[in-house]
Amino acid sequence: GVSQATEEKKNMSPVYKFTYFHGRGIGEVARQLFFLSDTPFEDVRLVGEEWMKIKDQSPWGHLPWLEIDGKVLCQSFAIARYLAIQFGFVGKTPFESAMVDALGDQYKDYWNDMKPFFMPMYRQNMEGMKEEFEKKKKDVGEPARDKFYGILTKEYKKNGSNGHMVGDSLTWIDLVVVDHMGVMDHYVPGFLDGFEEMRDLQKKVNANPKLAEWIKKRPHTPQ
Amino acid sequence: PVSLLAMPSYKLNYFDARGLGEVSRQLFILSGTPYEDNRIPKDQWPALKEKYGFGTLPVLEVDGKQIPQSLAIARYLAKEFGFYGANAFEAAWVDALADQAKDFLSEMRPYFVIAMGMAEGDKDKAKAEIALPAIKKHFDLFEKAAKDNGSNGHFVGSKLSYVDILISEFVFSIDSFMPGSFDAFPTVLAVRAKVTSIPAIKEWIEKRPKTVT
Repeated sequence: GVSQATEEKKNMSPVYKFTYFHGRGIGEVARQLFFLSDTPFEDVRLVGEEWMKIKDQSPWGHLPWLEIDGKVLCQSFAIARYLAIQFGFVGKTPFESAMVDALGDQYKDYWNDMKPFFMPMYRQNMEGMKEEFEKKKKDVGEPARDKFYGILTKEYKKNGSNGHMVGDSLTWIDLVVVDHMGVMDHYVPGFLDGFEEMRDLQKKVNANPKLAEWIKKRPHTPQ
Repeated sequence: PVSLLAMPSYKLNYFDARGLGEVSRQLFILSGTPYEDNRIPKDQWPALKEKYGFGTLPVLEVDGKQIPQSLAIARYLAKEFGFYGANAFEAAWVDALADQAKDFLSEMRPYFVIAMGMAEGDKDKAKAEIALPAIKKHFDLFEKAAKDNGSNGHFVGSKLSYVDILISEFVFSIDSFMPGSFDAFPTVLAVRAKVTSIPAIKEWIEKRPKTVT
């Protein structure tokens, strides 16, 4: 009967448990994919000393990790891609998926370039940090930004400036880029002004009603 | 039978090096797929940079359409040719190990630039403080993965995947700088032995251009 079919479907749905810091970082994209697809998940957020206490017993010694019916999967973008495939956020062809992947890896390269700037950026309002922040912004942040957002702008225009980085559907790279833009807007207002195509992407992605709903109800963290 | 006319034309653009391009070359070879192995001399690169969307190499051209980023390329080819695990979860594990391997390379970079004479520094100090800890941290993980997978000569599942090739090549490169670096990781070395025993790969390794990296 109907109830049996429902029970079977419930039994077939995997149980997801996602463990990360209490923050957005590289974990946020997975949470967004769950919410956008109406998939229940346990959203474990480690605060304070909790991570250091369990680090040595954790699967790979870093966060995030995902459990799917108890089976462990590590590495933020392997997790994001796995969920995106399950829920339909990887583009419509193998070529599109590859471009999403390529932009994801380019984002990681940008992240590595930006690393020396991030710490002064987070600490810019602490005593004596202002000068270091300004110096690293000029020497590290701006060149890294110009290189990465230049690439993004080129790809976005090539794709028709249609509200998506790749193809004509929302993909996980849209979520990664736009969330990061929000972080930079928070810490360095004006940092991304002048990248008009990226502002267009940001506006259009954030207009997604389901995403807007998540952004309103999620725990609020600066990054 | 697949018509040759139905196959896309493939061109892999990279430097004359193994590096991040080699995994894709071996995927072509393993699948018996013809491809153009375009090796760009370093001095020609600045003038050609503009041609490539992200300004980096490698770039794969599939019927002229570009895919940049080494692992995006490797994954695309692995999917096409069947070297991407037997199901979605295995594929995700292949990707996770590949990303971990790339993290490993990033951590090794400060050692490499000194070891290759591209930056000032004490080579022995860099080895002790950068290279050896990075190798231990990441290869403990790879060793465990290979063991947990049943010590069957693969990191994931029961068939060759692109991460078997990727990590095997990193082992080869680093061993050439620091012989014996992976003696403590016999299950990883067994994966490399299995990859390199494939006749087509064995033949390729013998005849491929000999480069430092």
